[in-house]
Amino acid sequence: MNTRDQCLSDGDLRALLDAPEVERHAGAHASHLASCPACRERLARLQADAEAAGALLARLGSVESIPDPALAYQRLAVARNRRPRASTEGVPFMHRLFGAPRRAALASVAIVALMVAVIAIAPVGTLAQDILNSFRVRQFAAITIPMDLMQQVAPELEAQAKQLTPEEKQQIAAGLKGMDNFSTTLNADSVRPAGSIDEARAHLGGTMLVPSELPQAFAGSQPQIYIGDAGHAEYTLDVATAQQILNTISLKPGGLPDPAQTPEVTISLELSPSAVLAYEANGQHLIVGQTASPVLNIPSSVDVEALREAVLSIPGLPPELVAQIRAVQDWQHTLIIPVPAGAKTSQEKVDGAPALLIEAEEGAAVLWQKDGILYGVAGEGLSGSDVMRVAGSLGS
Amino acid sequence: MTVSHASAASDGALVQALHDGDDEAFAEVFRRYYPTVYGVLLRITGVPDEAEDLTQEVFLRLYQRPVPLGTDVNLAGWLYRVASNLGFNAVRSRRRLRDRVLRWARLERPLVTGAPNPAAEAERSDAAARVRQALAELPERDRTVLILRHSGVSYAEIAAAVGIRTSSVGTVLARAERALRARYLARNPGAGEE
Repeated sequence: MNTRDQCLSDGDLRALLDAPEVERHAGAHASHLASCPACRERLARLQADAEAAGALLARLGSVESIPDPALAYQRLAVARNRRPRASTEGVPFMHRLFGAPRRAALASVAIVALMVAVIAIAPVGTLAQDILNSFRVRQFAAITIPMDLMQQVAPELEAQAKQLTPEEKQQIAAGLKGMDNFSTTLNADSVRPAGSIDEARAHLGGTMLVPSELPQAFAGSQPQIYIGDAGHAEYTLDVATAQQILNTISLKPGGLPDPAQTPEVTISLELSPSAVLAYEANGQHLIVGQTASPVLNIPSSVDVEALREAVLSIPGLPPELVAQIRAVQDWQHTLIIPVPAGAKTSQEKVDGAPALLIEAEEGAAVLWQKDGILYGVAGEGLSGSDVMRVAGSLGS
Repeated sequence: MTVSHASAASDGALVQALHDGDDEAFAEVFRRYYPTVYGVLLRITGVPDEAEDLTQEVFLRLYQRPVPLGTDVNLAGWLYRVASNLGFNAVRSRRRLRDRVLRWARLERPLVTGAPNPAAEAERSDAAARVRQALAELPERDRTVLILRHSGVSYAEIAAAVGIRTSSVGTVLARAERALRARYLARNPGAGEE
């Protein structure tokens, strides 16, 4: 006879589904199950739920595509050597952006990569009639990225994607493969440790600023010194293919030239030598970096204003983000820095030059340009006034 | 201790060896748990190269700061907890975007290779997006339990990863499976689950 209190809970029944066969049929619950149709019915329902959930989750990733663990271990070993034991817990925003020492100078490359993406959507000034428009960074501006940006944009794009036929999707996937090409002279060895400040100074061409004042936590600590090579990167876009893809997904191909006249557009980036001083004390990091401004060259065949309008009209972009981008003045010389929604930004001065101060929960950073050189000071766990003091103490 | 190749050392012994700075022990932990940690992160993020980056991050954290020694060391639970935290954080924030730019800037390529069929690939990613939407409606703990279990993680390891009793795992799992199925069908009426 079955009483209600003898019946098994959903949790017990579900665990039974994952138990070894022998336990399922001979374990403590087996005799109850054999005599209780209600529990058997629930078990069958739970099994159906489990199988359905399993089938759905299997769509999220295929075991066949697992990376080769041996290659993954090699890659890990390289990363491990860059990151010593007993460092800080977690890798917060500022540290990830500026902090990981060997990656620090490459962060400038990343920022410039972002610039390639955002320059076209910045407010437009007058385009020169040269073969190339050259952009140099003279100042920084921050735009706040909503934490849920991807969630805001993704549904709109997904809605559009749903309207595509399988043939159109196939066409897009095939087109994306040959649409663009990226090449660069930079490689993993383009950033490396330097033996001394003098070596880094020579690498930069003679001038390098070092802080004379450090926050108390770093008092007396010696920096690790890293230098980054000058380099060149090129991104080439097949205009006809890009236009075709944009048309298929109902986005305006604005700004791109006539493919009959200009079949390819090449955007190039010139990077100057860079140097980074990385201080570490008690698991905290402080980074001081400097480089001459990178130069981004965009062919004049690209109508930057129309391209900006096309990008800004991507469905789902939050209006406040669009408004921030439009509000940036002197776009040809302004590097836009995306900051998380919780961060506070303000315009300050360092050595008489306008500077962008970013203060977030994880730390603070200040960026400025003087005499054609870009500088950045960022510190994990430091306040805005801490990084401003370090920045103010830089001297040769 | 020194851990040899294809070691059968217990997790507790491996943790002790990690504290002693034994690199072979670290390699053994990597060999033992890499596939499952990657699988968990692939299901959470849906992006192979992001899952690969985050898997690397999980093991880097283990290397930097080994699991504390103690009588109730649960290495697997620790790894899965870090993996699911990193995975959901990455999905929540824009870290995905930023890291991909950083990765691009580092000129690294994903280790996954091969030339998938574009049509099949598009179909797959569509199907995955629908599942992901349904999954996003579940509480994070339920989602984590669901993904860990369907990645082959044991009840005891799941309990350690999400901080619940082992005896409660079945209850959370049953609830999460029922909810996922229901949410999916509500969002995709008439859609088959198979």
